[in-house]
Formats: sequence, C-alpha cells, structure tokens
Amino acid sequence: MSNLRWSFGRPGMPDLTSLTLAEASERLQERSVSAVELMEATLQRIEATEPLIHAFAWRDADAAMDAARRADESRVNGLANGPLHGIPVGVKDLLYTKDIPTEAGSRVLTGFVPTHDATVVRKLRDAGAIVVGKTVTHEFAYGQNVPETRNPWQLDSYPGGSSAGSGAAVAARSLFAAIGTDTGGSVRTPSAVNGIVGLKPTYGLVSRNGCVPMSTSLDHIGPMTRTVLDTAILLEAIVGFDAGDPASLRSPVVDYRSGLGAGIRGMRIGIDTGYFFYDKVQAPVRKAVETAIDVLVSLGAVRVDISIPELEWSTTVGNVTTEVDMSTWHRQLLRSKGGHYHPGTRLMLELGELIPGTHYVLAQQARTRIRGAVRRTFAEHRLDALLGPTIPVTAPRLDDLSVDLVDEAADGGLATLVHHEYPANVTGLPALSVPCGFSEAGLPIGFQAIGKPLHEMTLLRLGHAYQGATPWHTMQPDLVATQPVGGSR
Amino acid sequence: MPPSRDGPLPALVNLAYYVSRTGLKKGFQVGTETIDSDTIRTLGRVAGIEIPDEDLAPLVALLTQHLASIDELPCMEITDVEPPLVFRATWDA
Repeated sequence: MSNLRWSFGRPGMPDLTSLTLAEASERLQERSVSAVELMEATLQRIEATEPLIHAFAWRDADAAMDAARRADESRVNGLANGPLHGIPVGVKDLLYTKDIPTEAGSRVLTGFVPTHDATVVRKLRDAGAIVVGKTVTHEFAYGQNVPETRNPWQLDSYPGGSSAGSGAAVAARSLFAAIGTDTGGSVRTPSAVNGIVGLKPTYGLVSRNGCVPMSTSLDHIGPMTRTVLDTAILLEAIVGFDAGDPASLRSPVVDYRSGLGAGIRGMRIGIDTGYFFYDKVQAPVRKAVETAIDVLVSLGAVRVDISIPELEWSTTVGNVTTEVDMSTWHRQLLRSKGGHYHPGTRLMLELGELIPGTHYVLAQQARTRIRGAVRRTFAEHRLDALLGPTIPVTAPRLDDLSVDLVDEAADGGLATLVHHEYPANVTGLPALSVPCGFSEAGLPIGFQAIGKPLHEMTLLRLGHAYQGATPWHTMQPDLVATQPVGGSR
Repeated sequence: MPPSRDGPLPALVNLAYYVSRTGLKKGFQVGTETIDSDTIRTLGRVAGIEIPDEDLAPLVALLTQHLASIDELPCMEITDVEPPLVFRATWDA
C-alpha cells in the first residue's frame, strides 16, 4: 500500500522519501527515478528532520552522492545487482565501517576508524545499498544514558533503544531502511515506539563480525524498515554463513520475498496471557494487540492459549548474562578509560565485575530450562508463533524514563521495556515487531511475533498478511507541524 | 542545539530515590548478610577496580537487587540442566 505524499517546498514533485524501499527499488529498476534523484530527496529529508530528531551520529552527503552517481552508472552498464542497488540506508554506530568513524555513542571510542566493514555492512554494500550515515545508539547500546535522538511522533518521548537513531530515521522517512542490533530488544523496542517494522533474526543467522559486542550469546543484528516486504528484502541481503562469527549458522538460503503472499490460513498462534499481557501492559497497548490478534484470526490464523511459566526468569537471565559479558569485554577499557564512560554505563560495568561466577552459570542453566520449555510448548501445541505486545507500554516521556534495568517497580522503565523482549534473546528465536495502532496520545504500538528457529519466513508471512489488512504502516509523523524539543506542548 | 550526550542521570536519580526509600545508611540486609558501601569497596578491590565514591551507594542498591533476583532462580528445577556453554575439542571447527 503506497503512501505517496507531496514534498514540502517542491510543489508538483512526488516526495520520493515517502516511498517504501520496495517501491523505490521498483522505480529505480524501471528507471523512472535515478539513484541520484533518490539520494537528493533523502539528503533533503535528512536536512529537514535532523534538527528535530537527531538520528545520525555521522553522515557524509558528498560521499553518498558520489555513491549514487556510481550506482546509476553501473545500472546503465547493466551491473545493477538486485533490489537494494542505489537504495540509501543507515547502520547503527555499533557496526564497523571502513574509513568512517565507529564510536558506539561513547567518548571511549572517540576517533576510532575501523579498517574494514562489519560483515553486514559489506553485504549491504555488495548488494548495492548506499550507507548514508551511522545512526545514533545509546553508549555501547547499554541504555544507561539519554542520547540526543528524539521520537518523531512526539519529540518529548523516548525514541527507543538502543537502535534509537535507526528507528527514528526510518519512521521520519529520512532513510528507507536501517540496521539495528538487538541484545535485549534493541531492534524491536525502537521499531515499536517509532511505528516501524523490526526483525531480530534467529541467533547466528546474521553475522555479528565487526559489531561492537554487548553479549556474545545474546547479540543479534537485524533490519528496521517501514514494511514487512522491505524487511524481507533487507534480510535476504544480510544473511549467510560467516567464519568471522563463531556463532554463524550454515543454513539454507531462503527467498524471503517469494513466499510472503502465501497467507496465514491455519497458522497457529500461541498467546501466553500471563506473561505477555501481564498487569504492566497499558490498556491502549492491550487493546491494540488484542485487536491485531482478531485481525490475524479473521485472516485464517488459529488462536491457541498457552502458558510458559519459565519465561518469568528471562529478565534475570538476560540481565545477568549481559552485565557479566559487557564487563568482560570492557574490562581493560574500564581500567584505562573509566572516566570517559557516561556515569550510568560505568556503574553497570562495575556491577558486572561484582557478580559471582556462580550466578552467571546459574543464569545459563536457567536459560537452558527456558529454551526447553518454549520448545516443548511449540511442539505440544503445534505452534507457528507466540504473539503479544512488543513492549508493554507506549513510548514514555523522556522526563519520566527510568533506565534502571533491575527495578521492575518503575512503570515505563527499562526493566519493563525488556520484559517482553528478553525471551527471544535468551532463546535465540526470531522475533518480528509490526506496527498495530496508536494510543490516544498519538504514540505508535507494535505487536511481536516470536517464531521457531530459522522460521523467519513464517513471521514475515504473518506480518505481511497483517499489513495487507491494516493501514498502520502507511502512517507517518507530521514533523513539519511538530514543535522542536523545548517548544510548547 | 541537540541535548548533551552527558545529560541527566536518571539511573542515578532513580537509585538515589530507591536508596532514600529503603535507608542506605544501615545497609541492605541480604539473607544474614548486610551489603553496604564497605562491602562494595571490598568486592571492587577483589575484582581489581577502584570504585569511585559516588558509585558506592548506587552499587549497593544494584547489587542488592541483583542478589534478590538471583535468589529466585533456584525455584526452578535446574539441577539436572547442563549450562549451554559450548566447548569443542576437535580442531576442524
């Protein structure tokens, strides 16, 4: 479903940035639009939106334009290599980019310029995508500081994290797609609060080689786009075995786009009300996701009520694993550059040093138990997916945000945000966030579908069918009419 | 001007509230032990890090919360579950 709007300041000209990635790609392939025109529109949009949303940590308009010219030349010479050829994208500033600063949102890495691209970045470039810039992340993706990025739907609200810039830029139409990383929901949370699609793939499906790590056993890299079709296009480009990532899987190549339209008749969706609709789920979120489930059922899916009590331990397991793994990676940096960290990040790194090894092992044992329980539930109920709200709340106002990861008592705090997210990280299962409505205050809401290992196709089919029946993904924030931070509310 | 990266410290503010609510001065009771700033300082020394004074109080609260959450894990029947740590003895991997 297209949502072609008219560009401000260019009467009569279609605003190319309102096209989806797939639509833009189609126009490039039929040569009704050039990569240079697409890039000009993108850079113009970024210029208009950046003063409001601060989504980019680094960008180079001249280099992007040069790359667009080269993309057009190679297309003329018959060398265009797929649907991403000439498409402007962004990557989170946790991913290595050759000759471009990679600072992970931290003064600790100020001036660090990698000599090679992360595997994901290399694959994007090989597919013809043009990296316009690096998107803002919380410091080392830990979520303890408040980065400069703002939510384009309401500028005084949380843009999600830690892939904050990726989420805000895609929602604001400053990018057609972006790459995020997800250790405890950092692709899915910014996708939900910014009203876009985000996929955390199966653990090992997308290489983390060249990504500043948080936790080697919880880290994932995934696409963030406006539509499920766009996510499928991006996913196809970045999957594949990579010897540079010890967890990388040798899995068969899947054509994620061709099966999208197969529908969801007979698809069995497990609903764990006790966990995913617990008492911290806000009423508008509950209502929107329950309505989304009704839509899926009307499309032929089968609702199956289930219960997995072991999920209750996901947050503890995720926190302990992340805290200890982070502190291990940062061990030398904490000692040599401790004063360069944001105080909140430093505090969490110190905490990780104080946690006994027995607790880490205990958490891994509990993790195995959770994984077994989820696997049994999928088998016993012949499930295709688990489904619930991506996060229990809409974007909290930044003034109200609590970043205390371990205090569940704070509504809207990080502990609440990761509650629904950690299960997919500790089990390594694929999880897709899809926009499914708005609160009365105009803030986006998303649902999350968690699938079986390497069953991304099932999740994409489900999300695509839902987007075919609903309009949420076609809506976009009216940034022009939005007041800048500090303006009147 | 974008807001500063080194802006407010909601984590610390939140912890300060937690501390004021629960009474740090007497230290936190965990089982039969009390965790206080001296405990944190000692643990830091064992780990080989010098913990700044301003981090001591928040760490008392964070470690106490951590211990409370860990205490809940043994409720699961996990004594027969192997940790999912991967070790390969072969050289062809």
